[in-house]
Amino acid sequence: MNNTCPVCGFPKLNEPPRSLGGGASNEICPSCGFEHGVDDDDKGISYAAARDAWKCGGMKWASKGQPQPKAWKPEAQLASVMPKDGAKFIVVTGCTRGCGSALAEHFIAKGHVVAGCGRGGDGVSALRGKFGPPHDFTAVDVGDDDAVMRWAARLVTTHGAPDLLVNNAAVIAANAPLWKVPAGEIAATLAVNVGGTVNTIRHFAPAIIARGRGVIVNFSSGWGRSTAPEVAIYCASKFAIEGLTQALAQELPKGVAAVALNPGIIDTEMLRSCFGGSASAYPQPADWAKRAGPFLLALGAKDNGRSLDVT
Amino acid sequence: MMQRLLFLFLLLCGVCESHAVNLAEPPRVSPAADGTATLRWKLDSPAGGRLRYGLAQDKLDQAASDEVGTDHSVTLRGLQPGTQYFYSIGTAKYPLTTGSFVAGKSPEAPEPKPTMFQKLRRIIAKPAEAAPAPASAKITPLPPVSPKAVVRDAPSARLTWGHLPSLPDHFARHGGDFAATSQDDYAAQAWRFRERAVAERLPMKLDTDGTVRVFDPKTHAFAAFNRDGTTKTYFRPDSASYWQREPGRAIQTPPWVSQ
Repeated sequence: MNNTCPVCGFPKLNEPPRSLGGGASNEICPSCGFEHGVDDDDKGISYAAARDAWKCGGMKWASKGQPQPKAWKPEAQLASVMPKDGAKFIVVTGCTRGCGSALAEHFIAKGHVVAGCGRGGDGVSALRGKFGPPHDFTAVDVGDDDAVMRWAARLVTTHGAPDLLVNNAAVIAANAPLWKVPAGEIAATLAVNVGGTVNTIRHFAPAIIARGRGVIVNFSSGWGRSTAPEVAIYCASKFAIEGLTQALAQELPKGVAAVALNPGIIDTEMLRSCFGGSASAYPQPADWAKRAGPFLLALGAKDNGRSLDVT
Repeated sequence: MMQRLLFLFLLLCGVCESHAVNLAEPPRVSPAADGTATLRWKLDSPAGGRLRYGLAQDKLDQAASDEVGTDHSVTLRGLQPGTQYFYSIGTAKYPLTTGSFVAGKSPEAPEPKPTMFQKLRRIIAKPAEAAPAPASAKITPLPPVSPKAVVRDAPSARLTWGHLPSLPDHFARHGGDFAATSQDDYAAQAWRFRERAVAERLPMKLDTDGTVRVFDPKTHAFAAFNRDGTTKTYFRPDSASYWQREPGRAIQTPPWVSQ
């Protein structure tokens, strides 16, 4: 876990500013005075605005009850959370493993600010330990519309509308003919792959549209454009992604784009569940991210409605 | 024949011993101004009711019982107004939960109107709120509490506030929301809100890290407590949808009551 204030970089908050599920600590940062859960969730103040206000005020120690550390260096702590000039704000779903994890790490390495989610609390906790603020990782099941609503509302308040929204989260049922797939696995696959993508678009798109700029990338698949036996539900979910992306593209205003992306074949846990040992013949996610990252960052309004492949 | 009867008797004993009676609903406490308090609780299957109470958590030296049934009610008399009483309730055999209440203070009593001075102090403390609130975010002020009452019925802030060094900052920011006169007064009001939340079954949410968030839709007061019941913060949010956006699982009994 990480107890760093995302506004001023003070590294010794009493507890993490957000629980794994995104709940606020309600702690008032003794350094900058930002109250997590109040200044953002209630007052609607972004981290950047709070940071600017603190800088304009001379970066004074804010707490009346906690003494200022002797070797306190506000400039140095602030530098640790300041996004670089030109940094993009990128949201990645399903970022605790596979392609999502590799993409998040790639974007962070390139100086961008990443907010990601995953269902596994352990994976989110590990990401928080590795990448502190300004990056932001939360345990969210994208199939849960309420949870996505809260997550999106908080991120839009604290970070602004994303420049790039990557709908990567997906699951696949065990290989089987359609009539042998348990109803629960079918529902779960559709809830995450289709429902999750719809949920994130519903809750992030209004902010992206309001700003008039941004790219929404919905992960499709080779099985979103062709079919194979024993993966019928996965095919159905990815064909749905292609269709909803096309329709969404027709709805979006000028300046905003929606793209369906076939990432290609990558050696992930998901591929191994389908291909077994032969999955190792395909690229590792980190290697794939070196090609996919720049490809995604180059997308813009001109690409609206396209079905693309990472080449 | 005797062996069969003995077997049946032992079987019945075994069934009776292994059957666990639980609370169907959290207990409700109704202290009255005349020095009485009525405690009501509901079991999920019929059993005798037993209440133990006293002036300290570890000294529940008084007891009262109720007949076999699922709905139990016991009225205690001769209580000292303003005194905190601790209790455990359950079946005749097993205590099922514990709690405390302050005698002589009815949570359902009408709230006294603030004096002109108190109104003025609130306006000075929060000039932004001097304008009438929109209908959807109407705020009903909590009754101010005199420092004497604070000393009498609330434990020290050292015991009730989670991260004590943060109390001055929370008081500075939110004390005005409740016309708190001091840090101790503010912490005591938060503690009383916690007690009232359990007694009146206010909406509560439990987060993954054990944080319990409580909201009173009538007064628009919000508080967050640690798993052990100590306070994290207490304030009135401005946003009408604040509570709706708070994460967590809806609960009826907070961890510090069920522990």
